[in-house]
Amino acid sequence: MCFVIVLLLLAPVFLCGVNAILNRRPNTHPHRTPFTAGLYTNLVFIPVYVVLHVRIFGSQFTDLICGIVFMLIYINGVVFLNWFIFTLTDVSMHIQLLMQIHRHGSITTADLVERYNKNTILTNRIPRLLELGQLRMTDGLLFVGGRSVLFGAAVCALLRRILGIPVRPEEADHLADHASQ
Amino acid sequence: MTTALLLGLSMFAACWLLHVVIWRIHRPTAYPIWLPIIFLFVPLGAILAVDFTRGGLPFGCSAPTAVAAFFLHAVIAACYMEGYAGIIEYSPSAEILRVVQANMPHGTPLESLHVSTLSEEALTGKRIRHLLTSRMIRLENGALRLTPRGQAVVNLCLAYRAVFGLLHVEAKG
Repeated sequence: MCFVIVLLLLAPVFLCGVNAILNRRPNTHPHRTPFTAGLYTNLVFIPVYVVLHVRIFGSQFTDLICGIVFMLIYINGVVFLNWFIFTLTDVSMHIQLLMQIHRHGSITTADLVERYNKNTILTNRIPRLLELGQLRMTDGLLFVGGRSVLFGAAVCALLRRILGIPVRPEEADHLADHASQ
Repeated sequence: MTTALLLGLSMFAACWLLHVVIWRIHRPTAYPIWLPIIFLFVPLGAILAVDFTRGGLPFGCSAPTAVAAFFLHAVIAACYMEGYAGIIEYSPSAEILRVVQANMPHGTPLESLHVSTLSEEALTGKRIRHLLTSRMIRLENGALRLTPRGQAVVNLCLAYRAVFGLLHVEAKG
């Protein structure tokens, strides 16, 4: 079983190393490299795990399948974490506000909102959604190109419902208005 | 490995149920403190309590199996805790896609794309208040400045981007 612990410790190191190398290549897409690095990590670690499992525990089918499922969940969880940390430094609005203040040393709220506002946020997201294939543009018209972000948003909405959090922004605004009255 | 898989998944399921129950009773605003308590300290405490009171690990599993199970639980829990901010906040990207989806199959002209569900206050105003209340920034003579805590977060982000070869890539938000 100790070899599993070693693999569990090595997988995140390998993933981050490959991601850092991929990011340094020319014409790289930093929003895609975490997933490419994740693919390489799966391609290396799953076969290594299967070989070691068969050699150490034997080829009992159920245990082998459970082991593969275990490794798949673990490795792809780490891939998600790695991608999420990148997006935190790249698209998080809290972080961008901190970066704006860091760049200017000291800034009034009005100037900060002038530099980083709803229009900036939405304008910056469209090229990214086009690059990720979530949107496509034909003759100046935008179309939905992919479903993964919408699927993620639907999962978040379901979790909000379960946790008793307002599902849509309009509901949250309505509740905030109601609370302030 | 069957035991490690089932134990890891059960641990996460039990912690998530506890989280739902607590949130249904009262949703804490200090979730960055509460979530690690529920997802990391409670299961660790439970494993240690079982080990001390019964003189062995739960379900008679070996120490490496319990460690592997905890690794699995910790990764799923970390994904959930990181994603929690996305659950309580509304993604501008998803709102853009919703507007475009509503106009399918005709398409949405770029210049008339209007996301009415997110206000300026919901996007920037609320976040500036969050940063002030979490003492990442302070208001000094009418201007906003980073506090040492905010500066530490900025330095951490810059260090991460340097290590991952991303300093040349502009983060636009």
